[in-house]
Amino acid sequence: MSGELEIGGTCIGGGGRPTIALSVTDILDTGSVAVRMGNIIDRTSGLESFDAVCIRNDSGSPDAFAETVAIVASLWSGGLILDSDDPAAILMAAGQLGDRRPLITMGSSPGDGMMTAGMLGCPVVVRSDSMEELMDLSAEASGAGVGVALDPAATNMKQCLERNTDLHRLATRIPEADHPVVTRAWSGEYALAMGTVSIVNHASLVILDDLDRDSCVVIDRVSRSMGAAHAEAP
Amino acid sequence: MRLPKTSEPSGTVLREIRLGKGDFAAGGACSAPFLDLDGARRRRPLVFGEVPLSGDTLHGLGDQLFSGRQDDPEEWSVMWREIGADGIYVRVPPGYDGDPAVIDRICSRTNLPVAVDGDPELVAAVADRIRDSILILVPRGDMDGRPCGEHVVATVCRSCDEAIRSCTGACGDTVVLMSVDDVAGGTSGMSDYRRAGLASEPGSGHPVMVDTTPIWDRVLSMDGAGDPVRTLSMWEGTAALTAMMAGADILVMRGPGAADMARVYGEELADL
Repeated sequence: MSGELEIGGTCIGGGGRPTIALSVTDILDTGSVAVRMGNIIDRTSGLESFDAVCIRNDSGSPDAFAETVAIVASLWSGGLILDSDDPAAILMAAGQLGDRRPLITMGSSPGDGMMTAGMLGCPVVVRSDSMEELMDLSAEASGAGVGVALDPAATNMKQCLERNTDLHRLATRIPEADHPVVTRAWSGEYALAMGTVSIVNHASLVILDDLDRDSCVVIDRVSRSMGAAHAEAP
Repeated sequence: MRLPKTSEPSGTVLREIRLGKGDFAAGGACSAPFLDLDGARRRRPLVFGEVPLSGDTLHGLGDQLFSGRQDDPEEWSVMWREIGADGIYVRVPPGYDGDPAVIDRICSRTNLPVAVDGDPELVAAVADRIRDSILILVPRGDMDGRPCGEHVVATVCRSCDEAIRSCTGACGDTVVLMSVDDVAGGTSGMSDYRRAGLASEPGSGHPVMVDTTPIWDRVLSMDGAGDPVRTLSMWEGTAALTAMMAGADILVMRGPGAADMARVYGEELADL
């Protein structure tokens, strides 16, 4: 996999060490967002792979999203991922970031995601559980000059193994597949397992809702091992 | 968009071994691990629970993990069976001065496949005595031509090249035994050996047994680990997960929580 994206100073893809992101929701009040960020910073301190944070627009409100993004950006100097289905929310939130270029993910409306990312000059995650549709979206984004990452929408370990491997093989055959692969998982031990399966099987970015410190240490170690293995590969 | 085919079936079936009374099978893969894309066989790795005949490998956590039954190797083995292990890995330390007949009783009480890891003299004696169950013999030294009967013999290896060298010309059933002491490090030898097997290279294709128990020493030597039982489970369970994705056919595990995770992960990945 040679495709590489830069999100706010963090590179994903390109055969380097996979990146892991924990998430912040915008349904929290401003004080709680700062506390949540403090927790993320504490529990990932000293761990190399946690290079990004994902901010989710669960509230549906562009104002709440922009406010949350502004707080997170003031506390976090690494990569940022903006997750919303609302182009207006993404545009308003991106306005808080100055020249930082976040990764945009708009799961249920990929066309809007590409257009919004194109306007902002940011890379975008395209998502589909159909490999054909995913490649169409990838071609469309690349054609529009937008950097792209691929989320094959796996909802369990088995799908993750199959789809990530499929994408990895496709990447050697067609340029549309030669982009960083993204996996989303939730919280707790199953998220740790799914993240592990994904990292071992060629993912470049794993976005998780939450993990405790012990799980962060474990998945960071998996990520670093795979990064070292990629670096040694001919 | 019309996509090119990505399936890479090998057309090779790796060696399969039968264990216990012949009712447990390991190996026999025909693809990269678990990959339906390549026509994977729906089989998960066997999980063997470790039972040492002396010494405290549980670092004082035995009562918490095995309810006190770890003080008696037979009871400990029965407990492994009750919590769903597929086999028992009996570790006999050098200079063990107890009665090795306990291994016979573990076989008969659990009815599970048993692996015996110890000095070649002891392993050979057990192999000679136990004839109604197929064991995995793990001699820690040269067997010097001692007969192994119908049992499976493990060869301890650290890399794919070493495994191929050790297994070239091997007669009888053989498994390759590798160890991991980190959650994802050290699995390249297993992956390479699986690939060599699928490419029908001489000396390859034997089932791979992976010992995840060395990870305990790494975890317990770390500063600031949280609840040790949970931390050990996560580390050993994750090590088992990465090992099975690298091609492990049999896992040797110390913690019951991690063993349970490994079984569940194996079932999901094998789509059972």
